[in-house]
Amino acid sequence: MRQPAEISQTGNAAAAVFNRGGRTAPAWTDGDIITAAYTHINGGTAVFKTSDNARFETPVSSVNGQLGDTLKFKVIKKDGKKVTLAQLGDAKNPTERSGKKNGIDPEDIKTLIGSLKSSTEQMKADEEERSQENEEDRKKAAQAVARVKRAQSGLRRSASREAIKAVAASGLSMDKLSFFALNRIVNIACNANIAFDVNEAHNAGEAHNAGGAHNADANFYDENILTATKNGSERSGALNELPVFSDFIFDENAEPVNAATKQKKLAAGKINEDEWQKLLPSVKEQLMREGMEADEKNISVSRELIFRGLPLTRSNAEKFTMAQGETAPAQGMSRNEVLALLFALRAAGAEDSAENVAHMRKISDVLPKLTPLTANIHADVLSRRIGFTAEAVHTALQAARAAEAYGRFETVPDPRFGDSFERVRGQFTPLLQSMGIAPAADNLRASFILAKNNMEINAEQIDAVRTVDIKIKTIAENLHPLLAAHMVRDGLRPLEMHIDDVLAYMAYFKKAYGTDGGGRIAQHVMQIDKEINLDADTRRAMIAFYRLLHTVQKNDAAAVGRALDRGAPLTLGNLLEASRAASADYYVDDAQRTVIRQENENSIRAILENPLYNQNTYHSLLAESFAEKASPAFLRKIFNGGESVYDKPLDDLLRDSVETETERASADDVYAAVKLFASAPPEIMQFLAGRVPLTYGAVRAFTRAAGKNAPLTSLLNETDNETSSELSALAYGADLRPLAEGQPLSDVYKKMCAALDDAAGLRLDPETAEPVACARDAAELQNKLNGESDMVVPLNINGKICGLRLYVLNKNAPAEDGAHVFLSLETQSMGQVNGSFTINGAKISLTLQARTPDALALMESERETLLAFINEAGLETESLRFELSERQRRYYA
Amino acid sequence: MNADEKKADKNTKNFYSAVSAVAKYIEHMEKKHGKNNEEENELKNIRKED
Repeated sequence: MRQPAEISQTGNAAAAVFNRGGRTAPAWTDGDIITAAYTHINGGTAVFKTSDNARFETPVSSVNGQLGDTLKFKVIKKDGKKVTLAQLGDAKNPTERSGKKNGIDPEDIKTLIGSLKSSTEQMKADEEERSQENEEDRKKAAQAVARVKRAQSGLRRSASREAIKAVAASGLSMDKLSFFALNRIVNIACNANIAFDVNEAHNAGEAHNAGGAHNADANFYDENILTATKNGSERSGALNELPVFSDFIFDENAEPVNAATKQKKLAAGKINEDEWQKLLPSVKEQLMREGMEADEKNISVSRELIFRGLPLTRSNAEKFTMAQGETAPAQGMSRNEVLALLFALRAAGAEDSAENVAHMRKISDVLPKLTPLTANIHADVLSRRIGFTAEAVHTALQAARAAEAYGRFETVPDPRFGDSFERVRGQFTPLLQSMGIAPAADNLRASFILAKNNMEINAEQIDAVRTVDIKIKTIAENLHPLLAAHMVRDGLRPLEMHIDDVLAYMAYFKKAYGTDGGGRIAQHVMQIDKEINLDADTRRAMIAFYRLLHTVQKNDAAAVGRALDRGAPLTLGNLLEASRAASADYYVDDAQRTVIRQENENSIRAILENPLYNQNTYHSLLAESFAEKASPAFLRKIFNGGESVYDKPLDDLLRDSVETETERASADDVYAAVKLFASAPPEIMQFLAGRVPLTYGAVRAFTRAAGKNAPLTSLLNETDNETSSELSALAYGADLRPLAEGQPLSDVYKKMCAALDDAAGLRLDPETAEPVACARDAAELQNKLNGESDMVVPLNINGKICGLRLYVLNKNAPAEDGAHVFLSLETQSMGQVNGSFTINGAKISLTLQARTPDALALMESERETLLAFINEAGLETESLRFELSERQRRYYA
Repeated sequence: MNADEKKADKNTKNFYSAVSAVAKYIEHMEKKHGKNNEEENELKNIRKED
């Protein structure tokens, strides 16, 4: 622990002086002028660091200067360890700012924190005004504390701790907005390739981070961010952990933003009971079509929507739920969304690195929130108060929504405020008519927005508002994951680009890649027709085939979903059938109050919202790949061969269409991965997402382990090499640490299995945190095993170089804690040898595991030799055990 | 070098000592009990010729 060398107060500086580790006093004498950098704020305390690495703290209020400034202090009096400092001059001293590094300007972060803080304070003030009963306040406080405790105990990653600390230290209230703010900062940091991890900061080797105690205390401030930035850029691609904020930012137990609004909303919306009962079956049907459960909550939301004459769609329901003061996505990204991102990245040929996934997450997080727009946005954009980027619009929307308790600026009719389009139309129609502008709905809406912002209503302004509206909506609705993934691949950041640039890219994309693979087929058909004389029947068949693909593709996954829904086998014939049906959608007619069919908008978003998407994705990806891969030669082959393409399963068709071996192999890889992601149990994906990089290996290993629904120990007995090595890796990961502590293996396996069982519908609380962390460690280690070990010691065995692989288990612990090491080597005489040792001081506890009783006997026969080697190395043997590996122990039992 | 650093340094040395002891043991076992690589290669060659 750091101990202050002294605390004293003089003039404007009350300083507690620390040296590094608090062991020796800085070599200052009276009258010395010290230059110190104002590095960060910890709680209400300003922290300074001098060039000779001394640190001191003083209340923020006593500092004349800003964060990042370099300030001068005079040593007034030094008496032994006691030093009294006084600040010299004012903050106008030549200040050294760290400047912009790797895309992060510390000023930006400061401004961001500042603005978020002030908006939070505003919100807090508003909330205080609203809250009338003290008891409610106390309840809120208790809930906040509980939430933080939950988060602290559940989320072992340093990033989350840092977020909590940062929120607490900045004096922000423990609410969603604060965490949202921090999350934003983390996102910004991710863009600059920063890994938010104390260990990363530790690795930076900065004096600031020296010493384990201080390291564990690292703060989430400019200094760390910049240190980590530097570190991150040096270790390019070192970002291997995703922040797990989403898990608790969207904590479903979080206090609703405005409970009073919710009550009001619920009280509103009375509908004739008889009428409602008649409507109920079709509403339930519609809910299911929208992929929503027909539960009490959704039915009540549907009722509200219908009462307001709004179409019953999933997005409307979500908006409505949001307006009720609840955060719609209760647990961050849904599995479908995560899948969509990964698929999109793969499809775009972009690396599915953690960084890219983070970008995609961010994009998919922001885009849906761009609509509905609040009226202030248009004015802000037109008056250049905010940049015309998706991010800026999103930020402004967040601010408007948070500050105005959602809905005050809302331009859709809101009965709470007595608004309705009818009333608005009444006011604006004559006005527009008098100006010679048609009182169409969009013109009315534009003029409504202008009026709300006290802007002049004229034809030009209306056009401008409409343009802003259309541009933002186009981005929100049409920047689908595949497109976003292409942008990410091209190193673009769609959220931060000017919206016009994003639109230009979208237009380019459409031109370069086409909107459908069917176009290629058409080209092929024409090419074949040119090259050879097709007979009338074949030509007709080919054209029909092209049309079929085109139709199926036009409907994208919807057709596949429908076919699957009916349990039909996935053949092109069935898809064609399904795509006819899929082109219709359903909505609630406000006049008739019934659910009727309507032409499908068929947006990618709608498809993504479909619960069948994960299955659809696999198949629609297959369909897409098929359309892309179908070469002229293949087309000729299938038509000349007279095979019926209509009844052949899509997978087979696809495999046939791939021509070369290499292509086939790479296609197989993609299908395997896609299939795996699509078929992985939701709880596994949920469990893995945000905890480990979603690699093929990790998903496969976990899926297999969970899918077999058997204890890992028995899985280990399997002879299948691949599976067993994966699972061994898993098991090793979990058992390493306890093994080093001398725990029996079986307990560790039990823990692993329990962790996997618990993964279903996981919420991190103190009870589950531990086994989950254990499983996560396993997954991390498994990842590591796929890649590199910590250390490979080359051994010369009978003229052959073998690598003894070492995995240091506690490498993040201070070096003085000793080491827990796992080792593994394939030998000739003893087969696979695994083991672990703990070394503390000169004392070693070693366990070696053999795979067979013979190998075990052999090992034990040379026990004395090993003891001699240990002695020779100057170590003392605390314990030495030889044992049969767990799987073999069971087998031979 | 302060006391902690000395301790850490000592621990690092001990770590390598431990690794080398295990490595020596494995080398010893392989030399004594493992199949000779040359013999194995010869066997392989014979099989190939067959």
